[in-house]
This record gives sequence, C-alpha cells and structure tokens, in this order.
Amino acid sequence: MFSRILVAIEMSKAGRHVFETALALAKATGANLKVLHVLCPDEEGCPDTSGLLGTYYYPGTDDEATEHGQIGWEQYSQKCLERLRSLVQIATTEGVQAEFAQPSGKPSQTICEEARNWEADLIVIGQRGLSGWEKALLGSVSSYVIQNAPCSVLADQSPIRARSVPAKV
Amino acid sequence: MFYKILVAIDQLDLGEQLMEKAITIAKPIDAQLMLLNVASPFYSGYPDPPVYPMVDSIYQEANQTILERYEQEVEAVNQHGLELLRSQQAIATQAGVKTEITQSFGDPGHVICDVARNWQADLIIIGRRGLSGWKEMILGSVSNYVIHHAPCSVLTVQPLLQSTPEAPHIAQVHHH
Repeated sequence: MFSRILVAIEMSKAGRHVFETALALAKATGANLKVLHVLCPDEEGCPDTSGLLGTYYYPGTDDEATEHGQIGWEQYSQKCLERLRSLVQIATTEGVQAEFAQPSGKPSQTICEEARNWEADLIVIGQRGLSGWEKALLGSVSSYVIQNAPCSVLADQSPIRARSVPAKV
Repeated sequence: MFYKILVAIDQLDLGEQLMEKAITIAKPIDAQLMLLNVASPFYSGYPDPPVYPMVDSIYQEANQTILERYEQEVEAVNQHGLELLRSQQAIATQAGVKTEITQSFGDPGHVICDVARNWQADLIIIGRRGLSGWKEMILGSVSNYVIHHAPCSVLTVQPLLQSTPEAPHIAQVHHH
C-alpha cells in the first residue's frame, strides 16, 4: 500500500507531468501527497544568484550585486511557492489530501532527507532524460535518489515520452 | 496512467513486496500485469556449465552423462522459475487483477527492457539488490540499467532489510 507519496517537481513543464502522475497514483490508492520543490540556483529558470557569493572586487558593486541577487532569489522563491499552492489546490479539488514544502539545498540529498523525515513510502521523481556526457557532468538526481532513498522510487518518464511521442488522441 | 505494468520478478525475497505494489497500483485503475522471470547465468543459483566437455574424448559415456546432468539442472531452474511465476500469478488473479506470465533467458537488464518494449508496458516494477560500491561496479546493477534504458517509467522497490542507519552521534567535547 502507499499512504504517503512524496512528489519532487521542477518548475518546468516536465514538473507538471510528474505531478500529474503522482496525483493519479495518490487518487487511485487513497494516499496523501506532498509536493516538494527544492530551491536550487542550478535549476533552469532560476535567476542569476552569483551576486550572493560576494565575490566582486569593488565593495560598492558588491553590495549592489548582493542586493540584486537577493531580490531575484526572493522573487523566484515566491513565484515557485505560488505554483506549489496552485498544485496543492488542484490535488485538493481531486479529493487528495495534499501539502507542499520548498526547502533549499542540493536536490538529490534534500529529496531523500524529506522522504525520511516525512516517512514517505513512495517518491515520484521525473527524469531529465540526459545521457552520456550531460549525465556525467550534471549528475543524475534520479539515480542518486534511487540509490539512497529510504523507500520505493518511481522514476517517471512521462515528461520524456510527452516530448518525443505525440499525445494519443 | 499505468495500464500495462511489467513486474520483473526476481529470485530474491522481494517478490511479495513487488507483487503488493503492483496490485496496489493495478487494481483501482483496472490495469493488467505481466510477470517476468529472467533465468540468467549471472544469477547465483544457476548451474555452472560443465567446464570442458571433451567432445573428442574416448570416454563418450562419461561426457554424455555430464551433459545430461547439466540439462537436468537447467530444466530444474526453469521449472522453479515457472512455479514461482504461477504462484505469484495466483495471488494477483485472486486479487482480481488480470495477469499474464512469461519467462526468458538472458541478461536480465536487456531482457526486461526488451519485454517492456514489445509488450508496450507503461511501467516496470523492479527490486533493488541493494549492492553498492565495488560489488555494484563488478556485478552491475540490473535496476540501474533498466532505469536508464527502459522505454517507460520505472518503480524501484528497496530491499526491506535496508534500514536507514541513524547518523552517528558526534560526541560533544566538554571544556572544563
């Protein structure tokens, strides 16, 4: 049985597909759902946060850069929170008990940690569909999660399939 | 959603867990299951082939006996696999889930992906052996292969025994 499903999403379109898979599973099995988005500067769509590192040479520029970075990060974080709220709303309308969380950190480790803390019995995660060099350089979040998760892991390929195969009519 | 679910049954003790997950997902949406057992010479339990069948030996009789015995052993492994499949099929059928079985021979990762492609599975359910480090490098990870080569989504089930060890307590240093 699944009673607690943790779905880790990205803010991209792929994230929506993964969410839908998890929602359908939760609905079918009567499980609770937790939608997790890990805030991470490496994610596609995240504004430039290099100003936060304080590596600029001139003190004046540095302050400005820091402020700029902070504002960008704050706005991005808010935008993602709104998205999470709307997803939880969708789940609730479908009759699934749902909540969300948005910690910041390294996605792979944060997902496993969250699964442990929330005592998830299933993690649903998307695959970026990288291969070869891309995978070697960027690392595969799903591979890490599968090897280190405390529970079962569903690596959802629906985003990749949706990209390559025309949808069934 | 997942309407065609391929369950890669293995000889490990995970069988029951895999079936439980498969039925949990399949039943409410009326999906069908395919249970697959791969007889593989890479798994322990598979008989080792006779080391050097001396075809031109003068002891034809002995040779024959060795080969026959080997055939019997292989047959026994296949039979065992089929029995395993049938017993799991019975469980699923009893739960009201339409279930087929199939058994093939070969490299498990390849066979699982091939069957998934041919049967047009939407989901593969597979257990993890939970090897790590050197063992995984040498023996290879079937689940890892499947995750990266499957034509569909993959659900990996962790071995039950793998309890998560508590982080070791860091002894506090008291200054006096």
